[in-house]
Amino acid sequence: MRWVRAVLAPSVLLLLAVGIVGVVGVQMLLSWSVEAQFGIPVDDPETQRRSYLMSILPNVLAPTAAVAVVGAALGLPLVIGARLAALARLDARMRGGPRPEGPSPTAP
Amino acid sequence: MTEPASHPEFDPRYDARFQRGWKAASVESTSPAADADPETTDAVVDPEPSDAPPAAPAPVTARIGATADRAGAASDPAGGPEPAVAPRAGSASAGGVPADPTPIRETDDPGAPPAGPEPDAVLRVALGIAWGVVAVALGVGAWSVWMIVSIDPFAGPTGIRGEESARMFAYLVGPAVLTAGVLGAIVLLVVEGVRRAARIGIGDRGVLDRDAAGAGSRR
Repeated sequence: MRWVRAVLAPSVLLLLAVGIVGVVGVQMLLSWSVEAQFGIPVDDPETQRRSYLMSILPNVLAPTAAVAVVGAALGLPLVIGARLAALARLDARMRGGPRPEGPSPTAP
Repeated sequence: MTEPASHPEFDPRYDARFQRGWKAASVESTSPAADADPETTDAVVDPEPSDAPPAAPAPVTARIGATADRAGAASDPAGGPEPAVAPRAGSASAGGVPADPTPIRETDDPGAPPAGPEPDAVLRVALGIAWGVVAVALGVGAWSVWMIVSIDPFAGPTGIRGEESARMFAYLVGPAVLTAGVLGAIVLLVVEGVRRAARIGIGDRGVLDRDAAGAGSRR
């Protein structure tokens, strides 16, 4: 239950979306690049232009997609872990456990 | 040969200025000797009592205030952390008893109202500016990709200098700007998530109340 509460946050869901878009983008750009090199017969100017774009766009967008994938893979554990720790502290406090803020400010 | 002392030695360790809770500002008005360095002044080393006793009332005031505050906290059903107290500057009378026993609260209790401008508001403004920069970067990157897609690559140079510059910008700068925008968005999302998680740990306001209420209702 705590896992669900840790994941159901706007930042976590947005990071998840960024990661999914990055993975799908990398896969699509790679298939475009391969298809442009091996699969498209160049007959007319429109096909030629399409082939050009399918070979140039992976060079333009693949770094962005890779950054999205790696960034989401790095950020998701950080945010989910921070939320899990905070929820664990909150649950412990609501069960009457020790306060998470540390010692009292007037403690010797 | 030293002459035996005819009166009890005064141990400087028990001087008020070395006690916890001593504040220099609270003694300046009552003791001019407090301006001197306690390591070198005669008021500390010399056992002879002077006309202006050095700062003895200050810690007494602090203890009285702290004791009163603890007593109030004990009778308070809400409880809460004990705040550190300090005597109000200039409130001590000549006898050391505070004229105004109300202590100044020096506490970092998260429930206490902030005295100055709220740091969270400053952070919110900074994050808003950062989100604006990320939005501009993403917009410029998307425009660059659209420029690359829409321009016919086999048409040759148009002869218009501005259009050629835009095309070169789209090819050279646009992808890097788009990548930086995505990276900035991810970093800001992580910062926002960790910030919200930290506020859950405090658990008193905003989003946290929802979480706390949810956790409480499930118990």
